[in-house]
Amino acid sequence: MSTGTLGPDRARVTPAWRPAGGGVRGLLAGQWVAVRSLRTTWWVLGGASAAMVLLGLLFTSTAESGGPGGRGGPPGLDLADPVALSLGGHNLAALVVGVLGVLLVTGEYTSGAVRVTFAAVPQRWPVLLARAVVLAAVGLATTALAALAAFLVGQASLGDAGVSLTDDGAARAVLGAGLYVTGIGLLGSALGWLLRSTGGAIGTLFGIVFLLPVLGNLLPSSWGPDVVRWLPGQAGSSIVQRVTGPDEFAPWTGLAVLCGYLVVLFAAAVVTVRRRDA
Amino acid sequence: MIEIRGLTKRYGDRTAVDDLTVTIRPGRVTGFLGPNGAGKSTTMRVVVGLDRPTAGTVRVDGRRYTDLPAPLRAVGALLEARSAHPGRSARDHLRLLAATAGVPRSRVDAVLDLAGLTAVAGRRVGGFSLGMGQRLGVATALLGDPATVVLDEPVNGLDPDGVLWIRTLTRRLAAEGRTVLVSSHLMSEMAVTADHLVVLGRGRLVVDAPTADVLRQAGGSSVRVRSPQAVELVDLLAGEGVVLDSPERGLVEVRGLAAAEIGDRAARAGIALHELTPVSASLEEAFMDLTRDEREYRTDAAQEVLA
Repeated sequence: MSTGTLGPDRARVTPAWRPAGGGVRGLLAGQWVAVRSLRTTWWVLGGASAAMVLLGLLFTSTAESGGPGGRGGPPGLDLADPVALSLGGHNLAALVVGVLGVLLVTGEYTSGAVRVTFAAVPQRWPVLLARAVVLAAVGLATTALAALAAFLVGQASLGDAGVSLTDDGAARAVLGAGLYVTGIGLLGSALGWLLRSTGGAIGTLFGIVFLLPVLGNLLPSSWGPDVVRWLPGQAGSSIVQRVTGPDEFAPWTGLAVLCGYLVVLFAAAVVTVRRRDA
Repeated sequence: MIEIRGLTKRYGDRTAVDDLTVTIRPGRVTGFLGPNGAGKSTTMRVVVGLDRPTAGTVRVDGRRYTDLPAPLRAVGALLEARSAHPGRSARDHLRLLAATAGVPRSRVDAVLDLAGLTAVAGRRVGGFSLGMGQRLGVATALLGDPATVVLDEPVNGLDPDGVLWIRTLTRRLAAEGRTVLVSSHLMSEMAVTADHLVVLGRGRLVVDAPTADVLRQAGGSSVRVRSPQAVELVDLLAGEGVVLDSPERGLVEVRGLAAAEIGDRAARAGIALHELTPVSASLEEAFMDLTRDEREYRTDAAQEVLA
């Protein structure tokens, strides 16, 4: 308590562009602490990974029977494709990580912590970007590993019907599952910044990713699929497929479309957050 | 130093701050006073760039807040009792800000120690009491070792120990040459800590003066006199600079004359006195006096609406 408040570090270093004083490294380090210090992050990422592996195992081990991997399985699951079977958990994982993306932002708003951060970085946009970079890095590292585990476990359970990671498109689908899930996490993050409310952002996220494709199927078949494939979730998930259908984007094109949505949404979030009173 | 020039902030059609011009100088504790809703918190939020002014400018050390190269190292602020994520530990909360602001990690331990939070630094903030949250807020404000410190109602929720801690701390920060702006709605608290007072009423500047002057001018002291010959007494005492009031029969309140003077004059005129009591205006009364115009304005406005 008797320590003087004046530290030895009074020298003010002011290079050309060091946002907030800590520079880009400081921003990223700060946002890394922000993301890793919350238990939610690890519970959600752990849950998403477990879901991915266990669902993959469920789909592959029941592929021959009438179980979820067989005839009674979720629509869109390509029963003939062992890769798709083993990565079948990516939709649920995307849902869960999307919620994490929302919570990591709206939690800062509801607790008021965002004001302290914005006081430290009055330009605000560097915080949004740094948070997105950290979420992308942590999300991709975790979910790509989980996808790899799901793939290996799933192929092993398929026995002779299983394929190897070096098979055509298999490695891309595995990495793609991580990319897609992470992309939906970033979508949640952007919606969190835009809407600030947990409920609103999660509702919007689910609406866009899960509800719109279902509604899109009700459109006339002559032009409906052309609309549906442009939805962020549909476009992004084509990277998880080994072979994409005629109504779907090619894998990397689809991912690029999802990235396009993310760029637009984050740009909108930056503009909104800068203009709003915090 | 904080220079506020012509600051106006409106939320919709509600004016929170109305054309405020004031300079908060270094080396002393400036008390920021006003009833709840007077615009103190809004002004503080604008100072640290959280809210945009509708009109006017705020400069800290001659720069706009957004132009400061390292804001947390220039201005430290405590704006709300709770402003840390409940799921984060106190140490992590400070670490993430330290990294962002380019403050060495040793400062985190230093401010935790300063706020008496070292023992609970690893605990999640969600389990903190209001007082502990307030201490963490103060630690956060001092993290960047800032030349300007802004504290909004820092004694809220603190126990007597904590209140004393805030008093000592703000005095010391000012003695170190920093600019210290502390808000409160309690005049008594400010009278103890502040060297200088800035009083707001309904978003407008009411007073910007040294605390001692404010206390002397605003309240002054009066003398309560009881006499069976009150009417004669009033004639006797009336004169320039003397304010007389008779709230009830036989009772006179005198401002502008000392009790001894009143007693002497009454004795010479042969008027009997049953009571002669000097009354010091309480600090809260002084405060009410200061903001009376603003409050009357509000009442007038309400009557206009009713009429």
